[in-house]
Amino acid sequence: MIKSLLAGLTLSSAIATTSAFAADPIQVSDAWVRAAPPGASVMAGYFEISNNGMDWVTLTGANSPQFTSIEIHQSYMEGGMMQMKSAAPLVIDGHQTIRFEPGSYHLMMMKPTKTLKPGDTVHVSLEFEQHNPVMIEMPVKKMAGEEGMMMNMNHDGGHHH
Amino acid sequence: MLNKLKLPLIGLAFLLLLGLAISLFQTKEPPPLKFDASMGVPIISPPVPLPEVSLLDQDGQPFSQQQFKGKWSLLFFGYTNCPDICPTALQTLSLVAKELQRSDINYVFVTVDPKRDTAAKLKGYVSFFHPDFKGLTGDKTEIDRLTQALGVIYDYEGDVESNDYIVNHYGAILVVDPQARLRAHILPPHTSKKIIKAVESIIDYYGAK
Repeated sequence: MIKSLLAGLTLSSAIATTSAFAADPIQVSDAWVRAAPPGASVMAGYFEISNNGMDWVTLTGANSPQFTSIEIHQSYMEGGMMQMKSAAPLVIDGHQTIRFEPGSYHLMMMKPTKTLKPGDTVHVSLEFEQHNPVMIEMPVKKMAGEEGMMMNMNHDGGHHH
Repeated sequence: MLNKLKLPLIGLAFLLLLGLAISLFQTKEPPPLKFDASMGVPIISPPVPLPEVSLLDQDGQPFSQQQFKGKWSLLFFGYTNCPDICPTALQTLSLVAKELQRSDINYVFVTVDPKRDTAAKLKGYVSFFHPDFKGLTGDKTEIDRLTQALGVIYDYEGDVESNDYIVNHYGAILVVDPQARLRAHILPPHTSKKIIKAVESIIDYYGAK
């Protein structure tokens, strides 16, 4: 009796997990926005995005009611200089994870509608070509633990997909 | 009689020579400190004196290269409209400052975008990361004199006229010695651990003065 109950529980939780994945192949974690000095006209947001589906998806843009505009950017080093370029559209292959982090991919979030402080939350909608928008919540933090610039040292600054 | 006069003279000459040798030894450039190549901390040997510059600090006060004298300084060049690289570098430097707790090190953010970065703007910006951080701005010609002497490259991308532009810029932290001479570059990527190791080794080796 107990055995079959346990088996039933295991089965139902397995179904729940599977259905969650089936419903949304795109998973976003570790999202945060770097707190900026008061009056800053630009901020940066970071997260890890995983595509658990079989097919590739294309991240085409992002927006938030709390910012005038958001661009998907990548910092890279070229010719000895730190540079930035647009990284959209960004293809995420099936079963691929891309990390947005300081010195690499980031959301460049322009002109906050009001000053954001550590502890505030930014609501961002990520847009995809083949998928409904994904809403994420990004807490504002001074830093994500000990971090450095993990920069992409490729001289072509190329995407890796 | 002659010998009695000569001996003290020889002694004096010897002392003078010894003094000269000691002073020569002290001003002589030591063999360059060497880090493992993987660390990315090239040492400048002999060190390059900073040029004469007339800048403004975050309080709008005149700031010349003379004011680098007496302390070691860590310089980072960037701009306040920089979303990713500059805040990351300054946040990392604030960790370094908190960890090291040394009053003999200056932390200096030099803007390469003086058109938008006024002294007042820099003050709010650098103090957000650490109350003791300095910010420098000024005429572009003065900033260029400093960047050119130090090998700091940058350029503008976009429409400067309408203030819609980004600044591509050198990403290293520069180490300036207490005689206002460029002593090392700490190349990215930057972790606070790497910066602390580099700075402590450099100060230990070249001395706190």
